[in-house]
Amino acid sequence: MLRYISKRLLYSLLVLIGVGAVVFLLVRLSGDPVLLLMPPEATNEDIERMRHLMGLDRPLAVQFVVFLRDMLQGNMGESLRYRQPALPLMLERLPATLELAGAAMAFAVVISIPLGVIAAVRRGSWIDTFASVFALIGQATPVFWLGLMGILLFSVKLRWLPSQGRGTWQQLLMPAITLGMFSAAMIMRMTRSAMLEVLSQDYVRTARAKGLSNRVVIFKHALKNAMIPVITVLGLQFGGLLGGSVVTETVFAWPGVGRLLVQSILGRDYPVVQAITIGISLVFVVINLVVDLTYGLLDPRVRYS
Amino acid sequence: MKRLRNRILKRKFHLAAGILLLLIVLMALLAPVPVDVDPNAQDLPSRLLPPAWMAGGTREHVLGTDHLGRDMLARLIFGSRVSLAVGLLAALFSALLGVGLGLLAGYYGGWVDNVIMRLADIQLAIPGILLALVLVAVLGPSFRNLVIVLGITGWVTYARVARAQVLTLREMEFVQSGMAIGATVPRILIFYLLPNLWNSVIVVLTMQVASFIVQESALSFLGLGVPLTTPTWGGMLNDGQLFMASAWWLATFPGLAILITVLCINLVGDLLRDLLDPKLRNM
Repeated sequence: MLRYISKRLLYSLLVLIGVGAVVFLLVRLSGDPVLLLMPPEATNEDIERMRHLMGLDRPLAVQFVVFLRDMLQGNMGESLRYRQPALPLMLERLPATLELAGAAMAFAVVISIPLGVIAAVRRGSWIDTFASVFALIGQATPVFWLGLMGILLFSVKLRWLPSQGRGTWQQLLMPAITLGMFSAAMIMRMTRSAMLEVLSQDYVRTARAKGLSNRVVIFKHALKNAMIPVITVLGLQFGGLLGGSVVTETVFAWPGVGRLLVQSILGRDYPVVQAITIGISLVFVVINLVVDLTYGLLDPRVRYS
Repeated sequence: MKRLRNRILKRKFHLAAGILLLLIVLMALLAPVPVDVDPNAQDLPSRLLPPAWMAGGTREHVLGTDHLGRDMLARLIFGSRVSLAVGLLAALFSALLGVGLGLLAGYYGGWVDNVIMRLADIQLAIPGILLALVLVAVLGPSFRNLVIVLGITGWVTYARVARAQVLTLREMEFVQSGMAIGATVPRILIFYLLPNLWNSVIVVLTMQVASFIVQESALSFLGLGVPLTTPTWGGMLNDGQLFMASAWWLATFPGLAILITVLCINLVGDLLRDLLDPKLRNM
């Protein structure tokens, strides 16, 4: 077990270094960062001096090693716009994004798992049909449009909820539901099909034959086993939520990492873009690591080798 | 053949979605035939006109006009061209990339497989829309770059599907005998393995067109899509956001257009999957 964990940790670290390499290459591809930094009236000498100061006159391989060393030490350069180190700038916004993604996930799970279970248990009933329609529409609705429609209905027409900002639960409600809807649809579908599969297994029939109540069979025997594939989807969906938060935060003016990313991209603030891409990937990699390790707790058949 | 036809006809709901999708595609191809109005023609005196069925609406502008007096219906129809074209081309590009790499990974195994699949792991660690945003920022927003960017973000699914199938296919007799009679590697890849992948590829491709349409609209919404002179559904939503309080139709119709199109494509995708490759059910 310990060996498995350390192996997975090492692998996650390698993936992150890979992400670093991708970001390094992308930022180098995007043109000369020195020219972005310098005022237009700068002379060629000024530009060369700046290039030397930033270490950009060294061979690419050397630059990459320096970049990796800095990245692993948490130094991701300075924001061109805010004149502050990029990493703290991102970390400052991270709690807001995690709060939003966490609330969205909570909403998705609370809606989707019960709905998926009921749809599977009562296959073909009206609630199953409702679940299918919910899944179809949830998967086809663009996050940001759902947000706009929410604002239109609940902020403009009914005046029940504020349309932007962060701080109160009223402000969290609409962005979280908006962001979580797609995941809710995905998780619901997964839960339903996993439940259907488990319910047709021999051990469920045995449990029923023993005379156990329907409730015990569904919750103690079936649900626990159906959760294994669902947990994988949860991990993947969290990555989707982090990505989706970019758009959701823009719609609701939510002061998180996603909004900072869009602003930084539009303002060509590459060190911040770099820090956010690596930071979000780190969060995602850690979550998938946790998901992988949770398997063993749910499914003793999983061997860590 | 008759059984296949019966199986399709039994699923009326999916069939209806397919027909609706065909109509949407036809409308995009035929534009500007049904509504011969320039989608960029501004008419400031008749700006923010509501749809025809509301008080103040006119029959000239069935779905109303936007803040510059441009006809909503014409813009929606022209917007569908960008959405459908970007979605389809990007999905094709990413299929080319992904199937190619998946074939190589599955056929060669060893370090080739390792490099390609680790690359896939690295890419999956970056949420797709994030990677797309950064790539668009690097390459600059344009129609061509959108296709490239979305194509790059989507290759992994194809690669995984193709690789998994090649791993079993390459042990089969017809491939082994092909190798034995000295068929070259490209020949084996293209004539022996690829034809067996079509079904899965078509299913993944259909689903991906839908997801790329949503992503394209998200990028346009953020101002990182095709240039603003071309009407797009995402760009229209971006405009509409500013007039939420006074003109609900600006932000409502483009989103409905995306929703209906994506819904139809997903339903057609479901149908294709059940007919061609039921194994992909959990992808």
